[in-house]
Amino acid sequence: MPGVPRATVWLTALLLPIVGAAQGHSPPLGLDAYMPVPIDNPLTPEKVALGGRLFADPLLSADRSISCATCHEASRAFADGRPVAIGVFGRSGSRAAPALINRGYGSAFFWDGRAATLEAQVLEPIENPNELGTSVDEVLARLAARPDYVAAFQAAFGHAPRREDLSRALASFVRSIRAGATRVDRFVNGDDQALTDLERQGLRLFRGKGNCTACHVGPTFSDERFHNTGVAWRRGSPADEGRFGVTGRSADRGAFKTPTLREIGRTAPYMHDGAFNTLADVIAFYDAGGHPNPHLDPELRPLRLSEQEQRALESFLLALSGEVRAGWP
Amino acid sequence: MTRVLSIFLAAAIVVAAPRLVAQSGNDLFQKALSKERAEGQLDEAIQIYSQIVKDFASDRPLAAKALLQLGRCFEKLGRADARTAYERVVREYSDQTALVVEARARLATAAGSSAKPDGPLARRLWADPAITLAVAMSPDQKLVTFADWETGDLAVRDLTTGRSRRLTAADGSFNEWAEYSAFSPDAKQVAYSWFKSAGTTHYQLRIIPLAGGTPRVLYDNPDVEYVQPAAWVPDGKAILVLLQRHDRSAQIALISTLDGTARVLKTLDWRGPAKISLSPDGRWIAYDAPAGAETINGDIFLLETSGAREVVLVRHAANDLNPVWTPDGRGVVFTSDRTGAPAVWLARVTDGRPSGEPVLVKSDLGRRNFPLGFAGGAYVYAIQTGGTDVSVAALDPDTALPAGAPDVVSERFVGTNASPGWSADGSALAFVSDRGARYAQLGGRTLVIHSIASGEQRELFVPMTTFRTPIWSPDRSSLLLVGRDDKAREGLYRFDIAGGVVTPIVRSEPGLYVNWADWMPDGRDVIYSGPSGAGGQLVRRNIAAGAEQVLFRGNVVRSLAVSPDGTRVVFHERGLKLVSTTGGAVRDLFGGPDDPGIPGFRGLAWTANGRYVVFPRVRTSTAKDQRVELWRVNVESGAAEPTGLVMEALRDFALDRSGRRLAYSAGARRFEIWAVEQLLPPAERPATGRR
Repeated sequence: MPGVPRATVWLTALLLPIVGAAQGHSPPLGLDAYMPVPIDNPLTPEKVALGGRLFADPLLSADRSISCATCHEASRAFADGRPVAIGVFGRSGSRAAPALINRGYGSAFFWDGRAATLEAQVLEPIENPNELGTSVDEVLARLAARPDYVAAFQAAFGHAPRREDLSRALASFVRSIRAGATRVDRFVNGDDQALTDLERQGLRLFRGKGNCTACHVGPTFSDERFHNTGVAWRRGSPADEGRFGVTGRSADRGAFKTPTLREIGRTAPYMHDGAFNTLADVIAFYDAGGHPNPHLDPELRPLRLSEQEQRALESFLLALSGEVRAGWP
Repeated sequence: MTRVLSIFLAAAIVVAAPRLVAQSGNDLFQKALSKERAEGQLDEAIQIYSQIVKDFASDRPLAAKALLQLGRCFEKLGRADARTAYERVVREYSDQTALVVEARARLATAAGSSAKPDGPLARRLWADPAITLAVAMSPDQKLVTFADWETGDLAVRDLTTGRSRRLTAADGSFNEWAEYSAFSPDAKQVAYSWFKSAGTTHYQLRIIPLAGGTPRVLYDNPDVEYVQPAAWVPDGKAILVLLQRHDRSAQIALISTLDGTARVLKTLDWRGPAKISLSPDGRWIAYDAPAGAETINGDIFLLETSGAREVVLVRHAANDLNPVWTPDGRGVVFTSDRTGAPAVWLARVTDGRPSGEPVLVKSDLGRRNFPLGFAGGAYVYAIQTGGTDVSVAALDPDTALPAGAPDVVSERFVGTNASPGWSADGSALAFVSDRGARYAQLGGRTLVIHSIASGEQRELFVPMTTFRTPIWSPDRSSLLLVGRDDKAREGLYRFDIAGGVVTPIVRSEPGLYVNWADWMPDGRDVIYSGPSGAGGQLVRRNIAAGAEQVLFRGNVVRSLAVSPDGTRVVFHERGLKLVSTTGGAVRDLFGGPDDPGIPGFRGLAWTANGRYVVFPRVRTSTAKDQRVELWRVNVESGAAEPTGLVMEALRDFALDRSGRRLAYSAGARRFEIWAVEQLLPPAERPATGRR
């Protein structure tokens, strides 16, 4: 093949199915019917139910004071409304708790993308001293001492609680959290009355002059990639290295994963560190072209939006709230 | 009458007999081989091989070789003349032992034996300059639906009778037209995409009975810019489609034929599939897409129509595209460039999973191909041949009249070259070479910079998915490019030649486009034409500040050119018009709303003295006569006359600043439909395959 060295032409050794089944789940309007599910962790009602129960149970934290749901509240689109998450013993994390909606469609997890699968992601907060602050082994021991959980694991997996099953159950529940059916979804599916004139103007700006779809694209409004907007930059250096901490590439210094914009009206404050309290602040930040730094994403440049256009954009973003479902349908 | 210099550019005419005799026989043989193998232009190859046999008969090895190749071309076309050619080799060139052995072998197989050969047998089903790649084949291989570009209608051709008829009734204004289509399982209906420009910027999905009747609008969503039908599900209750949204995402969806509701199965980014194919049992969709964010080459995937499962079928560093299910549903054939040239490969499938490694089933498909699927047991595909090339002709600088014969400057990737633009000092030409296997793919187009003095050509990668009309900045450092950037956003861009970086000057709203642009002489401002709501406008923009001044508002503004002194701009909007580059009254220069003779998007140019504007004018309005004549109009008096420069299928042109040289691209694209019988290895051929 022209331009490709022979040595790089390879046949994959394992042409295996990359996903399994998400049958039985009819997604909310705006989401794809196909949602990737690992072949070794198909969604089942038992796993989703067990995962949901674990998600809300303080048993997973060191002092049994908080659960996953403490920082991922259903009423806040599974975020927590704080600039940074608060863990056990009042310890602060360094980043905001992201909204856990539509993560089944994701391909990179955490703000820096250090986990490639939900199964890998869900156990980390248990062992993070600033979050749940315990250990998976400790949690498994606690679960083994609870007949109700032992029975639930037996129903879901056919045996007593194990590390991989804890991960699979939690991941299954997170996969079941889906958000869609917003007025924007109705509009883009043909209901031309679903948005107001101002919101429609905002949609045009979102896709056009605002250049928002450079990153916030597709059904989840995220490209699942990492971008440096300069928001982490303080006095000439990044306060948080972001993606750099995973890849070690200088170009990734201060870059963070594009968050979803669904339900954004319920997930303030914004950015990985809650830097902005309002959507108007966020829009003004982007209108200025982000914060200059050596690795600023080339997509960011001054937008020259008028005040009216900024209001239209905000109005559109607020129309991205709709239906959030969790659990087996 | 003005002196007429006919400039013949179509490849078929470039190789006309008088030029051939002047070349050596071996050169001609190489040219014919290139026509046959690289370009797939068999008719032209046959013409040259025949000429060699006739004119170089004394060079017996060469004549015998040409005769043998002549037989091969006939064989590819399914013509019985192949046998005659091989017999002549055996009879008349017995001294050419090796060639005689080969001719006898051919006679024993495809050309003459009653026994069928074992390998693939290709034959051309139809060739017509009026069709494009937007064609579909009926399951019995008897009918072809196609977009008829003479009217914009969807039409159907009966291959057994050779007759075509229109299914739709476009108004002929090209404000509406048909594109891709798909036959229903019983071949009684056709689903097709239909564009209607009045107040919209999107396509509809429609259905029409093949016997004729009123079309039914099945899907009409203003947020979906484009809908392309791929196949009907076996029970006819849904149509598999590709959607392209205004946010540039591509979606694989099923549209109910009952109520037109869409069920989106999967969303991909702007690089979306080139082709999707439904398995015979309707359970699986095969599609191609780049496997990762940093990749531009395609892999092949299988997606269950229930939305439950997805499988990687083919993963390879090569560009694997255009999957098509085999008739028995046990394999997917696809095109791949892994051996260099596009070829057809087979990936076997068992229960929705890959089974073994892909195998090569047919080499040499041709660069611009579009597989349609299996019909009547044969693998059917459309292919583009011919195409445009760039030439330069000398002109009188004051009158724009011809002063010499043209020279072709684009001698590589013949048929892919267009949109020449002169550097300010006239020392170089930039042009676009469209070499990719599919439209609008990053790297599919190459920017070529041609030195006039040395003939040296530099090829530059431009990080845009598509671009056209390169126009040099006055300081030669950059080029204006109209097109789509690396994320497929339409607009006007600046390409820095030394740095290879693209920066946006204007980004269009979704569904709207910049049409043309030119620099002001100071290089600080540009003037561009683009849409404004339902109409069009001409805008002057300061690049650094982004400040804009609208110079004109009206209908769609097509080509434009800034005068050499930068005081005026001529543009094409329902006739040629003039306006000052600082705004003010607009003056009609030539033509008008009732004059359809000026084709859009082909360019305009000023003579060096600023007295004339050169513009293209069509001689007829039929798609089959593609001759375009260049005219000049006196800017002061408005008097217009032909320059005598006539091009076959002119695409675009540019005058250098001295007005002494005209660069242009021209040439007709042709499209053919081919069927390959016995494509699959013997054990995997369908028992019901048509022979």
